[in-house]
Amino acid sequence: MSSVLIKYILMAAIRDKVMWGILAMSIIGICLSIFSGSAAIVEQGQFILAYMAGGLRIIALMGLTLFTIFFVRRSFDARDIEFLLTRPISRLSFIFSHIIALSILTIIAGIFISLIIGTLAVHYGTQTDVLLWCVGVTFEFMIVVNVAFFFAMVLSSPVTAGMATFGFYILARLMGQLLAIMHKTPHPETIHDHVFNLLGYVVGLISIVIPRLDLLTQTSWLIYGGGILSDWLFVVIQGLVFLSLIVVAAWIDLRRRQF
Amino acid sequence: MDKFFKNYFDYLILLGFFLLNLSLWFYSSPKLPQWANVPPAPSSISATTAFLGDKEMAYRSIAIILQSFGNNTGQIQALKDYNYPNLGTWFDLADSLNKKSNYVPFLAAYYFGGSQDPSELMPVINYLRRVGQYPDEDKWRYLGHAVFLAKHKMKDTKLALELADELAKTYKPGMPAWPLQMKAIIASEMGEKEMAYNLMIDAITHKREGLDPIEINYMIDQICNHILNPVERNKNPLCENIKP
Repeated sequence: MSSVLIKYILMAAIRDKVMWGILAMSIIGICLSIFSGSAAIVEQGQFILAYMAGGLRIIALMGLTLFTIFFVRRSFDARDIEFLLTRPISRLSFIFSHIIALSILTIIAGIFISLIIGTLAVHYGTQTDVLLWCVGVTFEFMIVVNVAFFFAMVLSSPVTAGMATFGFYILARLMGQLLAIMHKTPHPETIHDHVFNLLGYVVGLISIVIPRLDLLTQTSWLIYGGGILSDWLFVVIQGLVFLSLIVVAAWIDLRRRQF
Repeated sequence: MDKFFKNYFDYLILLGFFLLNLSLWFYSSPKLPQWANVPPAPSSISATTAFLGDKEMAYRSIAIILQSFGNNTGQIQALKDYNYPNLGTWFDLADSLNKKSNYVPFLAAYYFGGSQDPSELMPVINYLRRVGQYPDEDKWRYLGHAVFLAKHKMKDTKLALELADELAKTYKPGMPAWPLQMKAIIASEMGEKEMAYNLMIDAITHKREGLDPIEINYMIDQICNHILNPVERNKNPLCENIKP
């Protein structure tokens, strides 16, 4: 791990004004949430909180993901990566430095959003598990941003890397729904049954390598609480396990890459 | 002339396309959005999927859609024109997404319950009946509202009595006494005096604990001045000190 490289990536984020971008978009998101939530005839606080939590999460995620993808692809195009790898830094250290720097960015974004949502939750006095939501949203950012880093390393076009990352995010958010509607006929008779059973197995296989982001950040925690120890454990373990998978995948890609 | 065309050829092309756009505008501008009434609700899975698996966000957004069904094209519609059977499917959808919130039950009771056509209210009553039996705090109030809609809007006293029976079963000490009294009051109005008397006596005898003395006095007054006839009243020791 190289502290210089971490600093370099963080400097690039400052130079690209990522946080300012997220802040500016968040202000718009906050205003829209208050506007939409105020239309409700009762439970206005809960409406504002739900809209704001969902909106700010997407805004921050898009900002961080786009920065990651364009930063990595720019580094490849400008041959920064080739230059960095000529320095006394191992490929594993290169990957770790990026993962840590990007994770620091996600933690900063997570704290920023948590402060807004936490303040609002206290203001509206909702019965909440704000802290669990904050930890969950930070891990969600961390997973998606590091997946974006992986795709940006593997795919040569920032457009395809961006689309792959957003596709991954949508799939991860919907995996619970997909598993719920998965078709399984215990005793298949027709071709239709066999085909749908096969598709069910395919979705089941895909779900092994897709994290359950729908369980990681639940807006209902902000309004009704209900987070228990198993939720905390799931958030932390899911975050760490999936990050490890991504680190190894990115490392293998870089190790086998011919410059 | 040739020089004019040569110099302003590009502007002429622009003007041509502008006129083409203008002619298209004449065709499209009268086509205003029409109110399509309340469509059937999507499934719970589809609704959650549309909001990236965020059930709470899906619930809150659907609740706002429900609230503004009749004026989302800027043309305000009367509640009597709503498709209430379809509206019932939206209540079911909201219920499957969030059973704790009071938003949609409130909307159903106090907004959709105000339809100018009371014969359409059955989906609202069915929904409130279900929500009113959830164990969460104060959910029983929606069952109370269902009784009100059945009795005073739909004028269906038989249904109101059935609902009032379910309401009485939700009674717990600390609640006001009217959920207990409702069935007896409706039975009395239906002419079922014996049933009404027994219900009131049962409430006074077995559920006295936690009841305000004013509530007990009210029940005794109901028995003596509304349920019993003057002959029965004179014989009943409960009515000894009660003014007619």
